[in-house]
Amino acid sequence: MTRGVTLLGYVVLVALAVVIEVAARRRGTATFGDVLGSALRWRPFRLVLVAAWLWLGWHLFVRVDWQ
Amino acid sequence: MEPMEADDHADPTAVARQATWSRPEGRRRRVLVVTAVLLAAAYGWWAVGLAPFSGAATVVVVGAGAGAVGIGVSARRTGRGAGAHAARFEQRHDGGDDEGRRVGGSEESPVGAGTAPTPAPGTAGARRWAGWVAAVALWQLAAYLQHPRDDHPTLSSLANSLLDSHSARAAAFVLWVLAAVELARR
Repeated sequence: MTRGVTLLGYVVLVALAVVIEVAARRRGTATFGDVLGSALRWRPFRLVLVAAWLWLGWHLFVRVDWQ
Repeated sequence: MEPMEADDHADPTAVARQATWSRPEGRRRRVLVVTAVLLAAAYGWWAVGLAPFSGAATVVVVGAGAGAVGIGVSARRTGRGAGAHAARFEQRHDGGDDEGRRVGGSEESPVGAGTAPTPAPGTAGARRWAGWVAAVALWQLAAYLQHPRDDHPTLSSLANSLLDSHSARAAAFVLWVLAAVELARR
């Protein structure tokens, strides 16, 4: 798998998300926000997601020597 | 059943918020929001300039994230989170009977006080999104397990490439903090 193929995969996934979201809004079905909101009603998932988000911040803003 | 109209069954929270935004109280709120964002930007500029892998950077960054989560939780408990979100979902699913059919909850469920339950999304919609998340995770894992990293970039390595300047990193920090507030507010 080359760099181009890997990047193409990410682009396809982003495009897929846009298509699913637009289709959901047009049809009135569940958008990503709706699914996320529903999942967040479950406390364990909420705790895991918040912890993961804090970890992401630490990973992006503390663990990288960008200077 | 007649579709629910926002005017006929006016959601007190949404209507009040819309009216408040244009009043003096709304202007004051805008000033507060802008001030908060500017302060967050200044804090972010300082935070991302700290020495990497240091304890200070860890405390500053994670502390900001935890504070943002606390703000979001506080907003949710005072009814500014769950009520608004449920209102938007209610207005979009006003009696439709398709794969977006609500499972559980009531079409007449009150909103606005922060206690209204968010109707569960349709199963098909949830499955699509779960499948998408699984695809992203698998693609990321496939890239992570292969080397060299330049040929198999992960989301982290791509993000680091994008955030290769102080200003970009500070802006990303502010967005991360705002997203933490929103995540905790839902």
